Amino acid sequence: MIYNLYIFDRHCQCIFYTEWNRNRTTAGSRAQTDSSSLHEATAPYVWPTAAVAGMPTDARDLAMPDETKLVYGVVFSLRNMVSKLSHTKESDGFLSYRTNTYKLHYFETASGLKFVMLSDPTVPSLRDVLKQIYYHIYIEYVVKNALLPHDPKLSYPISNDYFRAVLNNYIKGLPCYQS
Amino acid sequence: MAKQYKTLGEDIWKNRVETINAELFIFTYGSIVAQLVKDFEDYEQVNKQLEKMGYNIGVRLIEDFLSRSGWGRCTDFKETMEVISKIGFKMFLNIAPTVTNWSTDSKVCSLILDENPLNDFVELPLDTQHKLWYSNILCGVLRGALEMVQMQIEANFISCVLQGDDISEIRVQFIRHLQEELPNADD
Repeated sequence: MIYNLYIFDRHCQCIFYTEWNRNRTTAGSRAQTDSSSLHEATAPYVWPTAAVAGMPTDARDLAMPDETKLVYGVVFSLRNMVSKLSHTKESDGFLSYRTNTYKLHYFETASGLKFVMLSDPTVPSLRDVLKQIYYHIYIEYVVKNALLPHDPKLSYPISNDYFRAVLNNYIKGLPCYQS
Repeated sequence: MAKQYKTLGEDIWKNRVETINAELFIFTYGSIVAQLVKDFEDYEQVNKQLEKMGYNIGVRLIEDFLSRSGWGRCTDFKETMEVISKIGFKMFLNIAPTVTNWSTDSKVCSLILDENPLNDFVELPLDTQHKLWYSNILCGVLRGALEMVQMQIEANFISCVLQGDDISEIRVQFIRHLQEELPNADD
């Protein structure tokens, strides 16, 4: 079962978050309005939401789930520690780690994008899934989208409907999605 | 090693890229340059603008390059330049410039463009002599793309067949590795 996905850019900012199969009451301090609950049933929770996407950076950071900062901290430290311990200079970070309640899958591109996916502990490696998301969904719908601004010095949260829709379909089509 | 890059580059070119009509591409680029010359009336400025356009292309193009080639991090600048020439240039322009003239500290080298599709059908007026670098966009692409993989470089044309030189040569200088950004400390 797949729980959620985080994408971080090279500026350590979360640019995308979404979740599936997740019990909302455990999701932490996120403020949730009742009016969206009907909509919830069909579309998964995503960040940035349409309302947040246009906000200035400071306000946007507040609206971002606190959890994402925590997740970034974990993968960042773990990766640095892992490559320090590694014998060879070439280190690809780590692949995943597992606890008794979840498994965290990690993929980092040479350009500094970080893809993090949480699933239940029995799921086999999702590294290829994360690569597919990068190669075929992120590249196609974000990088190649000429309408999206792209200043390498700034962070742009992904508020692209096509990206979300294709991603959602892809994840729901995976054999490990709901088993 | 070098052979491995070449094979991969050729494989990607044959199997993993969509191509567009070369003439369309060449003429589009030509008209961009012509328009810039008209707008700025100063070849220095045109060079700068082309470089800037290239930079903006490069910062996006690197993602496409990484995904198509599946290439990870390079160990040193020498490897980077080989990969750029044999895989990068091959993938996007179907050429493989020669990497040569390394400085002793391995920080500066030259890309010799034996062929350059951008140059096709192009004749420059005499007054541009060594002022307008027609393909300067390539320098920007290199700078933008490498910046995204934490390498700061500078690239400049030092000769070009369109200016009557024997070869087209881009001098590439490695400046430094950029540090990865650290997350903001939480209060």
